[in-house]
Amino acid sequence: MGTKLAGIMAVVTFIVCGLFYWYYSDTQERLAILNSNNAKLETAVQISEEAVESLQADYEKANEQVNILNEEFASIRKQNRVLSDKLGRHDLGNLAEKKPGLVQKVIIKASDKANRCFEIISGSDLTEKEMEATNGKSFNSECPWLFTDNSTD
Amino acid sequence: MVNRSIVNALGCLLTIVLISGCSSMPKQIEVSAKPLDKPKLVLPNADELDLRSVEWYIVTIENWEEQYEKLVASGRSLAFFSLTDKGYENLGLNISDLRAYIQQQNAIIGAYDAYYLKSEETFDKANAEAEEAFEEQTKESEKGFFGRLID
Repeated sequence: MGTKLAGIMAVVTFIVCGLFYWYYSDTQERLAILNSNNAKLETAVQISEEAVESLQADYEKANEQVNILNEEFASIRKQNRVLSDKLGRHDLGNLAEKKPGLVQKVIIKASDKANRCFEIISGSDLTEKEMEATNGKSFNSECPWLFTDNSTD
Repeated sequence: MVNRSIVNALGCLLTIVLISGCSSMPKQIEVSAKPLDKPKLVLPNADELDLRSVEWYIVTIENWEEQYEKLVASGRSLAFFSLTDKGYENLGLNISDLRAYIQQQNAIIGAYDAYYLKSEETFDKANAEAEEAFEEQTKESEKGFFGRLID
């Protein structure tokens, strides 16, 4: 009876140990997966935070560029009013009638200079005279602001 | 007494099996964040301008004969394409507007250029950080029990 009981207990103990071993292994495997998932989620969160920071930085840069552009536009509009103001100060028709030779020379020079402004804006190399210019007027009186742009490059 | 012990042991066994059976193995998450390289846009520059010179003649009541003779001597066709003083002013102002427009367009292109160059730097930095984070995570997950214990 005692041997039989010991045998049954041994079998039961063996089964219980086996089950516990299975339970332990299963739990460890589950823990490993959960740890791995946790690490991946932490990384995903970190990447998301970095993406948000990157977008915020881009937004700031976009704003910065819009502000710079607005300033440049204001400056260009101001430059564009120079000729209008100049023409407003003089009666060109009257001057041409009185001194046609002088006005003819002036407008030919002014046309050449205005054309040269387009060439410079399009990226043309500066002439020696333009490179040696010390101020905007001696650089090109039709677009003296380009002298400042060149000197800052 | 013996029967009771066996019943208790089998009861515990059955409980464990039932509890374990209720749960399932958690699903392993796969996160993929592979950065994509954007192809670079390389555009040619616009052609440089090389404008032709324009010769103007001021023709008045007093000098029209002199100007006419100049034109005859030059061998050009005997026709003037005339503008009034107001027309000349308007032409000058129109050209000035066009110059301002080109300058504004150049400024816009410059702003785009500056913005995208800066953005590219930010993206590269973010991608590098993401890659670093993944590498760290991979190293961590590859560590065994003893590795973690030492840490």
